[in-house]
Amino acid sequence: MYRKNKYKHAITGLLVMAVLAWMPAIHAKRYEPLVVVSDPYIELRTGPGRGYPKFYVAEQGDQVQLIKRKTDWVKIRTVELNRVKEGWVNVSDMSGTLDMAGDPVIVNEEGLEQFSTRRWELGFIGGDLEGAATLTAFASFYLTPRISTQISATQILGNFTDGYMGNVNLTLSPFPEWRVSPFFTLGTGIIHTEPQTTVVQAEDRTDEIVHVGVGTNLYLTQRFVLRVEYKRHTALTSRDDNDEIDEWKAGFSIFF
Amino acid sequence: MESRIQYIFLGRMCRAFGTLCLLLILMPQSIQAATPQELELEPLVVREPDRRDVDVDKLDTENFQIGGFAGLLNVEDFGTNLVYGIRATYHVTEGLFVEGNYALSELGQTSFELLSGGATLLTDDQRDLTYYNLSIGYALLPGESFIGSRWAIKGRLYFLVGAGATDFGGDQRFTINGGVGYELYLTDWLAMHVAARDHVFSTDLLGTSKTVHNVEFTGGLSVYF
Repeated sequence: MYRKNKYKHAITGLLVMAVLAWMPAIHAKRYEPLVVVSDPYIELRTGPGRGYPKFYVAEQGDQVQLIKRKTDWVKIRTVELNRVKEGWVNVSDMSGTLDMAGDPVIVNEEGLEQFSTRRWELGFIGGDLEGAATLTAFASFYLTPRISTQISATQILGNFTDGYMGNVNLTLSPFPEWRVSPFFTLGTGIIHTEPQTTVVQAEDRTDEIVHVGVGTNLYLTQRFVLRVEYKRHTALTSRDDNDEIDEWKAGFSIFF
Repeated sequence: MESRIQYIFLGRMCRAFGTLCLLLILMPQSIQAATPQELELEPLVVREPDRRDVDVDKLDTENFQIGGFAGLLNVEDFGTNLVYGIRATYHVTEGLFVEGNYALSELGQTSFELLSGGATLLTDDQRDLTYYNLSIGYALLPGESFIGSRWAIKGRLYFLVGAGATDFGGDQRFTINGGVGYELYLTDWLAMHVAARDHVFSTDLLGTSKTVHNVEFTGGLSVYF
């Protein structure tokens, strides 16, 4: 058991080192196009956010280089009287610029359309499984806007029993274009439960489970979705009766 | 007997369904790749090869952040001890973000153990604490802070709340956490944090079940990429 903890420390150490080693590589050469300001002016801020002060104005006809993007803000560089100015402008201001051929710069803002045509979704959900708390991480892949497959891992944290659950399911979302988009799921998996150390004379168990569920996604902003869900699991026990388990959960996801 | 047959039948059905779902998850990449290209027609107007549209979506984004932190974690009855961990963040908008943490700490001795002389409640192994959590955060009060009259440092205050699990004493506990932090940008991509968080869970380790608040103060460094 002691050795296991040593591994934990070693893994954390390795992760930290990997991050540090990776840092210089993060800022390698990349796409930095030149554009021309077509609006009367665009304002540069010192940081990527509403709260940072405006410190410079690029005028109509000025050439600016687009460097990178952080959420809704684009970092740009402009040269004025041999002095380089770098600052952040809102991505919506990019529609007031033209590329070097005179065509408008393409600005696709994240919105409901991106939500309804999403391909991948990663999420985290907390819930209640017959009185025990659950934490679930899931990944979904959308075969079509209406049909998706999902794989999920759940940790069960009860007063008397802990456990794990793994599920795969098919999800049908009949109205993908709605901001509040309901869905239905049908799936199967495995549940493993183990009694806590303070409870004696109980044994570990692993059962197959099938579930049906209903829930809804609520598209909030950008790539962010809130999710509420109910699932009814049936544990296929080797005893005469199958166990019925109710699960309520709520959480969020990010789509790509 | 009937229920036994039902069990076997359902078990097979659900295994077959599970395999199908897994296949669907693994396969779609190739399906996606094959269809659209076959259907695409040749464009009627061929554009000049050197002309490329500027697309904001192609810019390098720095919406992810990863870093490490260290500090002090107080666990009720078990004293205040060093805690350190790793953190990953995804920024959804300039204010909203989601953050995951994984950290390690070690528990000290309870007053009972100290006063009784020899009694121990937990083994050394059970004194190792780990926690993980996922939280939603919102940044307020972004702006510049000043050091003297020459230096302006960008920063922002954030609040977060989330859920996770804390593992110590041979048991895992569902844990709610909430806190406040301040993030200072040393450069565009390097940030420094100080944060205070409360981890709330119930424990029956000392006999009766009770809800405990465990306060943590940490400082950390992180990079955007």
